[in-house]
Amino acid sequence: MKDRTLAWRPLLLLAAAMATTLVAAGCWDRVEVEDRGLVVGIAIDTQETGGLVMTFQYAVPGLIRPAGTSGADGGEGRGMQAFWNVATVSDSVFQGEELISTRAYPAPYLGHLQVLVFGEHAARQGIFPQLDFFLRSMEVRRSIPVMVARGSAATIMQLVPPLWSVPSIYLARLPENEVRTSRMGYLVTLGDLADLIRRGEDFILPRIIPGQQEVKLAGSAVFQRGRMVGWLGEEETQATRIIINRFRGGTVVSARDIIHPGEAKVNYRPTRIESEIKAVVSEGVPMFLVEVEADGDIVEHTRIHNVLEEDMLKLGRGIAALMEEQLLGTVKKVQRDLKADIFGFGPALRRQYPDTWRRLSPDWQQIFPQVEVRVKAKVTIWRVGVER
Amino acid sequence: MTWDGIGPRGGICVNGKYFLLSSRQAAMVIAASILETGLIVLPATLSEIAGRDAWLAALTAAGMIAGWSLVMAALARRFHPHSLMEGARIILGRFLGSAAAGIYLLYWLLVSAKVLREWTEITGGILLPRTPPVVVMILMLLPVAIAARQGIEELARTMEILLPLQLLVIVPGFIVSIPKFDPHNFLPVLAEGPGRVLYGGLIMFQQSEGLEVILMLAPALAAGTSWAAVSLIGVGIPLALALGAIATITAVFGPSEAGFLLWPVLAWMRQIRVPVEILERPDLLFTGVWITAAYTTIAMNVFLVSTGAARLLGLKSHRGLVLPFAAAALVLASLPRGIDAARAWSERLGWFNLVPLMVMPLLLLVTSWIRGMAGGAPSGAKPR
Repeated sequence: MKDRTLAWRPLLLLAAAMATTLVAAGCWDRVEVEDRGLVVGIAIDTQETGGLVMTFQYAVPGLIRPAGTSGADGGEGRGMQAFWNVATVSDSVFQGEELISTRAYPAPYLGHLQVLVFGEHAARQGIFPQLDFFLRSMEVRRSIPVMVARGSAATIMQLVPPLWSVPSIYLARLPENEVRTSRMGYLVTLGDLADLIRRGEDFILPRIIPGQQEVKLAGSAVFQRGRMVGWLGEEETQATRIIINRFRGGTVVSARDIIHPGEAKVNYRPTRIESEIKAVVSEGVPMFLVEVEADGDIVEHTRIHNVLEEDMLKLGRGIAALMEEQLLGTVKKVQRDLKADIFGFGPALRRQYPDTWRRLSPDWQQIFPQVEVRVKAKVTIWRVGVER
Repeated sequence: MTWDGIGPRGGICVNGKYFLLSSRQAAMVIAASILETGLIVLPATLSEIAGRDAWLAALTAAGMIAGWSLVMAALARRFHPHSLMEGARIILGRFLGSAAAGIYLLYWLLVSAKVLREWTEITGGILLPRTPPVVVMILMLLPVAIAARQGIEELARTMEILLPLQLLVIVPGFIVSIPKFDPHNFLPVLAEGPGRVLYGGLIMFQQSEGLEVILMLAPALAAGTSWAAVSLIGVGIPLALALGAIATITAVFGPSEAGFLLWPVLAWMRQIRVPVEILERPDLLFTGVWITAAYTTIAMNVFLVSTGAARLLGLKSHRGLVLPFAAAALVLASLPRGIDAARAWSERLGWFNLVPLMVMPLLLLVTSWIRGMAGGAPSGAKPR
């Protein structure tokens, strides 16, 4: 009897394992890879009447070629594009996704979304209502970059330079150039935005300017309480990045020669910039000191002459003075014209003087444009540069 | 004491006597039992309570849990070689001891249901959105029941293999998150006041289900086991991970956003950008590996409730009770309608947890001390 039971045991186990596969294969959620509608970019615009115009950019995987290669031999050579833009008008983002499913097969799958672009008009109306869907979605990663287009976002989804096949993938890679230039707004992801908006803090997003065939990622859109209130130019964006310690690379000071005024141009590229915002409260009134320390090299000097030791000190002081002027000018412009605390003076006050912050925070929007700000820069030149 | 090597079924032999678990395995069992949904949900709970000081609340809780693990170890040493089921009856008498044991059985069943429900929500939300939840639960319970039927040795060996794998997934997460760290998110310290920190610490203590596992491991361990070391290492691993995860999530998301997240650790994994994009969706890898922690925790709790009931009822084996208890966990896990109801249920369970985690061990320890049962009940002692 015992032996017979033992003999049946492997068969029973096998039957149980086979029965498990019936349900474990995930029949309800099975989607073949060719049935995945790979959406790589979404552009959100608004109509004057208030409706959303949503453009979903599908990637056509078979036609995507590696960056930097020619498209002549592939489908693109035959006039076929590696992307497909599908647009719809809707009341909300979720409804937009739903409506896209009435036009496109496969239905959109957002697991590989690379970039989210807001049009200027949509950004000025406020982006948080549109972000909610993406933050709730289990498909969308929180690490996708969010940008603002000058004019229409849908236009951006059409522009792709010859080196690339899909606009969204090209767009998502552009911020990597921040190590070469800080003229572009720093990368802000969907996850970062959620935190900024929930904390009620002001912020900037990278600006995209449409070109003929490509886009320009430079400058930034300024947001106050989730609504866009204006633009920052390229140099102002750079200054903002220095103040908030998000400088990654690029030339900071491009000025007429300080040693021999008016004769030549000198470009200073920091290898390291660290800044700190210090709040000082005197008789209940806050003021802020922005301290910047830069180490870097002279990368261009259009007049051929030897830079002497005494010139180095003069050059360092001159660059520091120009940097202070540039940073302070940006702060004043933002205080005067945009009134958005994108530099984080309020949060600095909260960290350093919590009691003062508790008292002032309800009126911070009115107080911020009036606060006194000073900038102090210390510049060290490591290399004056020699020809190789 | 002499070391005689590895026993015939993976346990150890000391002085020629065979024991089921080594000290390391016991520590792994405790660690894997604690390391379940708590870590997935806790950062949000603590951020909601203590804001920027969530890490301080976690640190307070870590101190409380580590200290309390020594109380558990002292109690386990007094039971040895019996488990909690017999030990409670030896110390409190037949009726009171059986009632105390019954509280633990209910607790383990409820913990199994809680973990099962939370992971069904996670699996359903991320991997299998169209699959009916009951199917997900059954799929989870099948291997759980098989593991629980096998016994403590197999569970311990499984945990010994899976725990390093789980650490291997989460620890690189800390490293690649460093560039996203914003230390300003921790300032100002004690912004919400010490009261919120202490309350947060208590809430985390409530969630340290698995802290009591050592009380059931006593029969499987050798008399010379360093109980305190086993218990401290067992709780130390999940505490270090929880502390790291809570601090990282506060630093990366900021306290406002962290408090809003349903599963902050999963959101953290969705936020990570792996260098050179070798992995586009690290959250899926994390979910795939971390779900094994849910399996081992549910399996351990189903094993505890069935083996505890078998010992209480004087049965020779726990195996016949595994399926009924797994089915009971399935029913209980299916009761809350919606994730909010499940979370509310889990919060209430947290307060009940204080009875088996804090009140009962203290009662048993003090009673045994008053009654002069000072450590290591004779192996022949029978529960009354």
